[in-house]
Amino acid sequence: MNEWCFWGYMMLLAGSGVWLTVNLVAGWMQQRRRPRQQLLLQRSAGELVQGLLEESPRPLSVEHTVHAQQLLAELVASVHASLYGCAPAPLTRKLEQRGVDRWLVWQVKRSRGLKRAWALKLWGDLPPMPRVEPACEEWLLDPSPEVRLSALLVRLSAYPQDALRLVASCDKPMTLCEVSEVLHLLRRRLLPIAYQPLLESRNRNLQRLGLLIVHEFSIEEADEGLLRLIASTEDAELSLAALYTLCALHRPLRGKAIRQCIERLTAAERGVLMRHMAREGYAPAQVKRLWSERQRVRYEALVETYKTTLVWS
Amino acid sequence: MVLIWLLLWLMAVAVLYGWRKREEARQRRRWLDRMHGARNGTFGLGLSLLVADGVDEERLVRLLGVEYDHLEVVAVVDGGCEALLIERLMARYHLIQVNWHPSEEFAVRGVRGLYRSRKRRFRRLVVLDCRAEQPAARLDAAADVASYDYLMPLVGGREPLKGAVERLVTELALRPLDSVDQICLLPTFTTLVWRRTALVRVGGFSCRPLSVVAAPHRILLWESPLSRGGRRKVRMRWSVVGAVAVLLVARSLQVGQWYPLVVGLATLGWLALVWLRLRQLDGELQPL
Repeated sequence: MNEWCFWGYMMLLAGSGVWLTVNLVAGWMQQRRRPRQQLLLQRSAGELVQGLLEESPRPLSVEHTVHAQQLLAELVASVHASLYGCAPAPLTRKLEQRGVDRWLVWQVKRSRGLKRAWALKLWGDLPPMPRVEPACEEWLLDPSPEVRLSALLVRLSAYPQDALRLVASCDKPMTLCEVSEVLHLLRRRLLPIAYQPLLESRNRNLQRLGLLIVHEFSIEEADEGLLRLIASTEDAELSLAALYTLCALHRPLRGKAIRQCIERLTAAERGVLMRHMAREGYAPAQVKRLWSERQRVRYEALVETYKTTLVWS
Repeated sequence: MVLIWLLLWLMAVAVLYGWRKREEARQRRRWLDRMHGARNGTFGLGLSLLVADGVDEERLVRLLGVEYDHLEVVAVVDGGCEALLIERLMARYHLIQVNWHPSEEFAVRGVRGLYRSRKRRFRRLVVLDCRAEQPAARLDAAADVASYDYLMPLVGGREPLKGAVERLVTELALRPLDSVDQICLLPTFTTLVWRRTALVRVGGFSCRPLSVVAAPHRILLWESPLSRGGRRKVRMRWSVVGAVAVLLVARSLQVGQWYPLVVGLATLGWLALVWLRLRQLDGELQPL
């Protein structure tokens, strides 16, 4: 028994020790290379942008280093995120010349879990690469939620015209992070983002996307759509999100729908909303009809903490 | 003997589990860093950094340098001892003294004044002149005047690391809205971020709860988003390791068995490898 325990324990230590040593050595080598790679990335960013402006591709410093494909992919992703209205073809050509597209597919297929999610996310941040088909069906059904989100973004990146259809077909409610990534992608592709059909849609995810668009672009004309959502009792969370969006736009908070929505909230939620309104700068007189007497006193005290008392002598 | 083997196995499995979780946390960090929502300010989720001690100008400059849009720094200063500091901060950040009214949510005493930065200037700084001696009471006073829903207490000189605020906010945005009350660090269960309503429910920082929030409303992290602050780095006591090794050799020679020596030395060497790798992972995180 002693011998079995001894040998079993030693095998465990030996196996994990080898694994640890490999990770340690890889980490140490990465640490040594990092300063030089950062320098090369900075230089290459300038070279890439210069090549795009002059419309003549030039070799980049980062192409002749270790992990060149990964560095090139990260560089192109960051430059692509900073460009607006620029044709992605030159960037795509650069990636295809170095085989980054095939490298990415290989990375996604050979890795699991968060490594796969990272590789997919990087793929989604790059300009479209026609040579590789984003066959994401198996990754869209991956048990890891991070992989599923990243795979959805790859799909949206490749077929932005299908973005709204894909968002509507998601069976679970999308989180704020997911919706904001979709919004980021839509902005990058310069698709017309019409908020009205989204707010009027019956699909919750599309309504969430519509709210985020209204908030992001401060669309003050969206009052009617927001009030309609606030009045709806089907989804309390969505109604509250619409109310917060209205506050963020500093629109007047009048009407039965808003009062009824506030009455449906718990005391804690009302406290949070009060704090939000005070921060957004709503005067007590503007919102006095929304609160009871006690709440009005509390709101006035909150607003006072943003003001100074002028003393005239 | 069986008990000793059981303890050794349990120790090894626990350490391996912790290490694997730490590696996963590193992969998650790399994935979160590729998210755009926090950098674009799309989330709208606000975070208040509560600085209860060690307030000085350099530290505030670093904290206010965090690029996340919906961030606020609430600094608690004892005006009785540091009146000059408050004056310097008022001059530097154009603070105005505003009215202070205690809310019913936290038991706060000893507040002499509240100063906020003006709109369209450095809106993100709030300075509270408070006489409280205990750090928990100072944190309660800071939480009382904080504007945002999520509160991050910073004690002992600790500061968020580079990119940590954006990652924390992205973690919150990856869950349904208002479903997260607490973000904790494993394995110590230290609370990193509180949701305001949950903090009010447990009675504030003075209550010192261990982990009073139900599991579904809690996010657990294996990688700390905060710097070490004033704490000393944990150093491997190589002298202790050497002493234990010598003891093992002596004991083995005494009893005439090589088992304890081999097991002991192998375990020490393996623990040293784990410690080195964890230190290497910590080295990847940059301060502000």
